[in-house]
Amino acid sequence: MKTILVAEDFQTSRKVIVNALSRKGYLTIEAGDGAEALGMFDGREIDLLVTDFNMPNMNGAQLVEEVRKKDQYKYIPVLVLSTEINQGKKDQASAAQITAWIPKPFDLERFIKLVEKSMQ
Amino acid sequence: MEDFIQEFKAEASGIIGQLQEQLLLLEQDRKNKQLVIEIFRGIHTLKGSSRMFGFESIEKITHDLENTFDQIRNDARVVSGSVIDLSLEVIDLCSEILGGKTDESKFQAVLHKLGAKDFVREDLETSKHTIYHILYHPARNSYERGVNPIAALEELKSSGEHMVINLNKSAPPLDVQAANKAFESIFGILLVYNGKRTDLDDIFIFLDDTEYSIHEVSADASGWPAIINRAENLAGVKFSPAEIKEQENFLTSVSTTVELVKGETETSDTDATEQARQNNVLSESSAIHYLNVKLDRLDDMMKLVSELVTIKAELQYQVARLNDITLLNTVERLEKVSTRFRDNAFSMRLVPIQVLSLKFQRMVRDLGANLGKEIRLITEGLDTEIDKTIINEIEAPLMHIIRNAIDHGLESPEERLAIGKDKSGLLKIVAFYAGASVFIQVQDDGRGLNLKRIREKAISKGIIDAATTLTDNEIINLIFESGFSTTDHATEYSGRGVGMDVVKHKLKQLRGSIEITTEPNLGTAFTIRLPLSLSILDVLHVKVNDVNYLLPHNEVEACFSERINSDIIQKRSYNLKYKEKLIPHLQLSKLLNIESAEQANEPCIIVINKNDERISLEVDTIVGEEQLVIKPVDEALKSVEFMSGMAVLGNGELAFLIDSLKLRESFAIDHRESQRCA
Repeated sequence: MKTILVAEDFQTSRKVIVNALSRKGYLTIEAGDGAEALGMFDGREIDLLVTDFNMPNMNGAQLVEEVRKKDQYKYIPVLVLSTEINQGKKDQASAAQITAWIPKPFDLERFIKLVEKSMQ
Repeated sequence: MEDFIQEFKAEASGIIGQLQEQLLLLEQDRKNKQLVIEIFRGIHTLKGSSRMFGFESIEKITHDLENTFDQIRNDARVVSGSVIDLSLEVIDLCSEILGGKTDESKFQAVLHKLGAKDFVREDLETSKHTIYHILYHPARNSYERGVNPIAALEELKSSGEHMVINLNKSAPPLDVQAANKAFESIFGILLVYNGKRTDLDDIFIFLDDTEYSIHEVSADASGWPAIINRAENLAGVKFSPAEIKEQENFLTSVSTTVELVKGETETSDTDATEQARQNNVLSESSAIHYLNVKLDRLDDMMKLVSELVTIKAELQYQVARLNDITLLNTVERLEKVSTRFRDNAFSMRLVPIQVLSLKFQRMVRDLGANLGKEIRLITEGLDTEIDKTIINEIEAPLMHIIRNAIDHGLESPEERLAIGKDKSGLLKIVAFYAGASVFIQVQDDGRGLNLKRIREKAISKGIIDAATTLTDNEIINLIFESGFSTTDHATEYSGRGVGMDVVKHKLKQLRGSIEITTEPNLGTAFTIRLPLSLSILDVLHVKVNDVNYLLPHNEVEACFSERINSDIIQKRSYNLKYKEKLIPHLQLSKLLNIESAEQANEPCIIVINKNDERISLEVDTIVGEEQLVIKPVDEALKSVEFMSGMAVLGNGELAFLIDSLKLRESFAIDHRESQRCA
């Protein structure tokens, strides 16, 4: 069973995502901001990080940067959700070695497809 | 997956055909639960499998329909006329999408009716096979982005026939690269892809634009060198001549499969109904196996069979002159085999009239609804088989006749009730064999042809003179005259370019005929007679003044020598007593204005029976039975109406095929004229 960490400060969005992932049979861990999410990379098995870009206490790009520093999580796929259209911020995220950028609002079906694909 | 698209299409067409039939049945029998369940199952299967094969638009439009029938199934909804209408519309559209021809506005209109939100069609070109040249060179550090470049490669390989060339010979094996988390390979990939381009792009979703490039290779491989050059420049590598050759070989091999697939698509398009039928048959009895053969090939075979028959006739003639018994025996055996071969070849081209049945049903239904007429359609004997070419040719005329019957023949429900008829009109389509002919009858229990109006119309159109006296039958036949139309303004449905004159002409071309019987207020019946097949006939070979004539064997009822039977046959001027009835008698020589040299000898009398109408014909000699290849009549002889074909005899002489129906018409005219003279 694969474990997915979902970091998103907006609770309704997080619930929708978690709900969809659980229904697909994934284990989910929830975090309300970047710092909380980073704390969960504590050695446990995490197969995918789904994170929002704009979050309090460490944004998505910073989170990914920190996660990549840990050997165990160096190569895990990362999907970044965002309504961000600011190119500078996008570049920051790309530099942080993310797997894919998913613009919001997104189509849940397509999102699930990307989730499955990212963990192949 | 692409291998299954054709199979899917064939299977889906089968389901669609079945759904049409079931929906039409349901309309008549709206409480039929079993039918509802079957329809639900059909729609469900169609919807489910469409998604699997990339026909999302079919899935989209069948989705609501499935729900509707689910509700009906659970008694949460009743079958209304609008449900049937919309269902049929959806099913039609599905069929069009499968065939690859549908217009967007129609699709949106149906969607709108279904209450679904607008949906952009993406899969219009789904089933097209395209060859792509893909240069795949993910960044060495792509693993650090959480990307697994090998997974994408594997997905690519599994998505179609492919060929992969490793362009970085120094790269370690892929599993080593995966373990090292460093991707070093560069691949040149040729892929035959049978899906949407967006799906192909999706495979590379986690890769940057700079890590791969996709170029379409045209089927004729033009622009191929440019593609190679571009790939080499992009990746900074060189294909070896051997590698280029290898790729070209692959292209050659797949381009034939791509072509092949296209060819198959074409046949399945034109033969959609045929295929649907075959699927139906298949589902009924899995023990029967079918092989789809191109019509061209059967045509070629028929030509060869025709040649064989001609040569056999020639051989027979030569051998008869030699009078060698052993040779005669051999030729006789050859004849048996060639006859069986001919019959066999014929039977391969036969398809049941059933293939048109759906079209009949749809037209009856749609036209009835549009004209506000209630119609009960009864079909009989539609399993009667007829040559495929004839089926194709007869479709339009037949539809025209049915259209006429509904539009002009059947009355409105009010009108019918007022004269004590059942509210719904009866339309019967019956097919049956008789001899080497197939009969198709279209009967209605409507108002019948109005002879008085036909006559007036013909006079006003200048087709006949006001003073002409005509029998009822002759008046009826006026509707076959060109420029004739029974209603003053052809309605939308009856006047679609083809008139009855065109129908008659078409039937004549097919060596068929049409007859009408009508009774006021009881109805009208159109009877079409068609030959089973077009080209080879069993004939009776006769001679008049040394010229060869042929009579279709199946029409010959009896032959007499006049003198022997003089006691039972009383020859009158124009009639002959046969089986206690007077039948028209014709002297072929007279009709052709030839002085028959053998008049004094015993002339032979042949009784011809066609459509239960008899006529007797006087000829000089009967040569015998033969099997001949009938060719169309030369332009120069077109004016001789009763000659419907020509054939070359075994001895190389020409013979003329006589159309007895036309002969009877000639007789009628001839008879009238002679009466007038008398």
